Amino acid sequence: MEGLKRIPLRFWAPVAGLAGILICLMSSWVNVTNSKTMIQIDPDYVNLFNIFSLISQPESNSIQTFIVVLVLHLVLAVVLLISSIVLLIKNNYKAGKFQVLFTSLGFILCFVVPLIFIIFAASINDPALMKVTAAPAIQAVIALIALFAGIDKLKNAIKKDWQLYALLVPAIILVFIFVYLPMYGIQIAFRDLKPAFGIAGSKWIDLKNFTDFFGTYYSTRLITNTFLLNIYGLLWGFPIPIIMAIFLHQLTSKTHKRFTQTVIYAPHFISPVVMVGMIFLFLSPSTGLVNKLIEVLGGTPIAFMLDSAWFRTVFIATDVWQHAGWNTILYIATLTAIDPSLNEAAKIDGATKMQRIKYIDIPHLLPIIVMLLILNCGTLLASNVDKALLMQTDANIPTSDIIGLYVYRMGIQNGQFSFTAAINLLVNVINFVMIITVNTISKRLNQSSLF
Amino acid sequence: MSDSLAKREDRLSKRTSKEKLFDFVNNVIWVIIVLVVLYPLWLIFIASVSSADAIYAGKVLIVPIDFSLIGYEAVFQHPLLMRSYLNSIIYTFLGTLVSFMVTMMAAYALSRSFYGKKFVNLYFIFTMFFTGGLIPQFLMNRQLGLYNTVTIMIIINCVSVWNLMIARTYISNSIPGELYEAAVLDGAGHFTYFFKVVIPLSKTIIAVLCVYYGVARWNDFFTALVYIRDDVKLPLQTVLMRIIATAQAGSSLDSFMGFFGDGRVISEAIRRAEVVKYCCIVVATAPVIFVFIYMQKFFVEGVTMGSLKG
Repeated sequence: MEGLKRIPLRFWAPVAGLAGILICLMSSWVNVTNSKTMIQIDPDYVNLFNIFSLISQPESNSIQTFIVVLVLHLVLAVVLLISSIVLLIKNNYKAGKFQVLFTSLGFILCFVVPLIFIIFAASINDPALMKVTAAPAIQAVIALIALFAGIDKLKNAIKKDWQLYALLVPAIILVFIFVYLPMYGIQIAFRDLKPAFGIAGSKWIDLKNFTDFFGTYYSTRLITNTFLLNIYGLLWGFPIPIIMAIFLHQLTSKTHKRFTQTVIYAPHFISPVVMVGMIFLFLSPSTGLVNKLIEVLGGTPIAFMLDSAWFRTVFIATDVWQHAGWNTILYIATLTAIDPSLNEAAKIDGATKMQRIKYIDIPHLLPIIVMLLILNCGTLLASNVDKALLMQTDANIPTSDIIGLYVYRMGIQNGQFSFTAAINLLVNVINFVMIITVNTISKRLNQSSLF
Repeated sequence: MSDSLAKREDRLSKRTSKEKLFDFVNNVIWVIIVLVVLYPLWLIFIASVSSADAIYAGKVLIVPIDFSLIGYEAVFQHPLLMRSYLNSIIYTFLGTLVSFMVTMMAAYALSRSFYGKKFVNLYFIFTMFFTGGLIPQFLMNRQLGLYNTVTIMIIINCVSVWNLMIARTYISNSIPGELYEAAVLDGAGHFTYFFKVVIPLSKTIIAVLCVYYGVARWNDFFTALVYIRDDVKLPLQTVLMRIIATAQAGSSLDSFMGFFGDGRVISEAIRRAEVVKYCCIVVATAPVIFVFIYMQKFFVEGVTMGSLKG
C-alpha cells in the first residue's frame, strides 16, 4: 500500500485509459454475443441516426449494429487514452485547455451517456437491459477515475472548494432530472412510441410525426392562433408597463406612489384559475357586470366567452389588467436609480416635465427595454397554456386553440406522445432560434448605436 | 444661458402652472387606475357575502346586499375542497422550503469564483432557452415513478433559473467580499460562512424567493392536472378549476348539487352556486394577497437589487 501511494497520480491516468479500452471492447463483445441469443428485430431499427437505440438495443443482430457499437466504444476509449497520454507527455499537473477538453469529452461520452441508459434501464425495471448496461456502468466508473486523475486542475479545485461544489449539487441534480433528463426523451418525436417497447425501443420513423402535423388542417390554425395571440399580447402588454412606469415615477406624493404601487402589483398574484373564474363571472351574459353595463348603455348583451371573435381581446385585456402593474417593477427600479442631480440640472435649465421624460427617463430605460424585448421575442410561439386551457370553450375553439393546448389535449389526454412531442420540439427549436437571432441582431445594433 | 441665477433657482424650487396641471391630471389618472384594479377585487368580496338573489338581480355594486355567509358554509362543508386546501398548504410549504434552500445554496456558490463556474452557469442558463417540453418531461417523470405521487407536487421544477440568477446577483452585490475574507481568517469554510453570514444577511432576497416560489406553487393547477390522478392528492387550484372555471354552466354545478339540489328548484341551486364561486375565489386568493401585502416592502428592493447591475 505504501508503494501504491508513492506512485504519482499522473500514472493512473493512462492506466485508466487502457482499462477503459479493455472494458469498452468487453462490453461490445457482450453486446454482440447477447445479440445472437435474442430475438430478431425489424431491420428498420438500424438507422444511422439511431445510435442511441443501438447501444441500448443489443438484441438487434444486424452487422451494422455491431460495427456502430464497436466504433462508438472505441472512439470513447481512444479519446480517453489520448487525453491520458497527453497528460503523461506534458509531465506536469497543470492541465491545459486542450487536455481538459479531451478528458471532459471522454468523460461525457463514457460517463454521461451510459448514466442515462442506466437510469432508463432502472426506471423500466428490465433485468435484461440492466445486464447490458452493467458494462457501461463499469466503463463509467473507470471514466470518472480517468477524469479525476486527468484533470488536476479540477482535482485541486475540488480539494479547495469542495464545499462550494457541494452547495451546487442539489440544484444541479434537480435541474438534471427535470430539464436535462427529459431532453433524452425528445427522440420520441422521431419515433412511433409504443409503451411496451419503451423510448429507445420504439420504431424509428424519421420525420413522419412532423409531416403528419403539417398535413392536418389544424396546423395552420394552431400556428396562426399562437402567433397572433402572442404578437397582440406583446403589442399591448409590452408598451403599457413602460408608459405606466414613466408616469408613476412622476407622481409627486410619496405615499400616493407607494399605495398605487402596492395596488397595481397585487393582481399579479391571482392564480390563473381564479382569474378565469372572475372573467367568466364578470362577462356572463345574464349576470355579468360588463353585460349589465352594456344593457344600461342601451346595447345588447354579448356572450364574450362563447364568441371566438372576442377570445383574443378578452385574453389580452385581462392579461394587461393582471400583469401590467407588476411588469412596471423593473422600469420603476431603473427610474429610481437615476441620479436626481440630472433632473435638477434639467429643471434649472428650464426643461419641462415632458422634456425631462423624453431626454432623461426614456434614454435610461432603453437598455432594459431592449433586454426584455429580446426575452419576449423568444416566446412568440410559446403558449400560456394555463390560462388558455381554462378560457377555452367549445364555441371559441377557432381562435382559442393554441399549440400548447393542442399538445396537452392530444398528448396527455389522448396519449399521442410521439406526435405531440414532435410539435413540442418544433416550437422549442423555433423559439430558440428566434431568441438567438434577435440577440445577435441587437448585439450588432448596440455596437453601432449610442448604448 | 442668459438667465440670471435667481431665475434658475426659482425654476428649481417652484412649479409652473403647466407642471401643476400635469401633476393634477397624472394624479387623477392614477386614482382611476387604482380603482380599475381594485374594483373587481372588491366586487368579488362583496358578492361573496351577499345573498344569491341580490347578485342575480345585479344589485351588488358598492356594498354587500342582504349579508349572508351561506356560500362560505357550503365551501367549508365541501370535503374535497377542504382536503385540497390542506394539500395545497403542505405542497406550498414543503415546495417553497426545498426551492428556496436549493436556490440559495446554488446562488451563493455561483456568486463566488471557482473552477468550472462558466460551465455551471451555462448549464443553468441553457435551460431558460431550451427544454424538453411537456410530453418528454411527462414520460420521463412517469418512468421515474413520480406519476401520481405527492413528491412530484413538491419537487417538480423546484429550481427556477430566473430566481437563481436574481439571488446570485443580489448576494454578489449586497454582501461585501471582505466579509468572507474575515470569516476565513476566523477559520470558517464556505458552509459556515453561508449559513452563519450569508443567510442572515439575505433576508430581503429570501423573502422575495419565498413569495415567488410560494405563490407559484399555490397557484399551480396544471401540474396536478397532468400528474395527479387521485382526488385526495389534488391541490386547491385544481379542485377550484372544476368548480369555478368550467365553461359550461351545468357542469360546474355538479359538485354543489348535493347541498342545494334536494327539494329545491334547480334555478335556486344555480343562483346559490354562483355565490359559492365568489366564496371560492376569496378563500383561494386571500392568503396570497395577504402574504403579498405583508412582504411587499421587501419587493422593490429585492427584485431591483437582484435584477439590475447584473
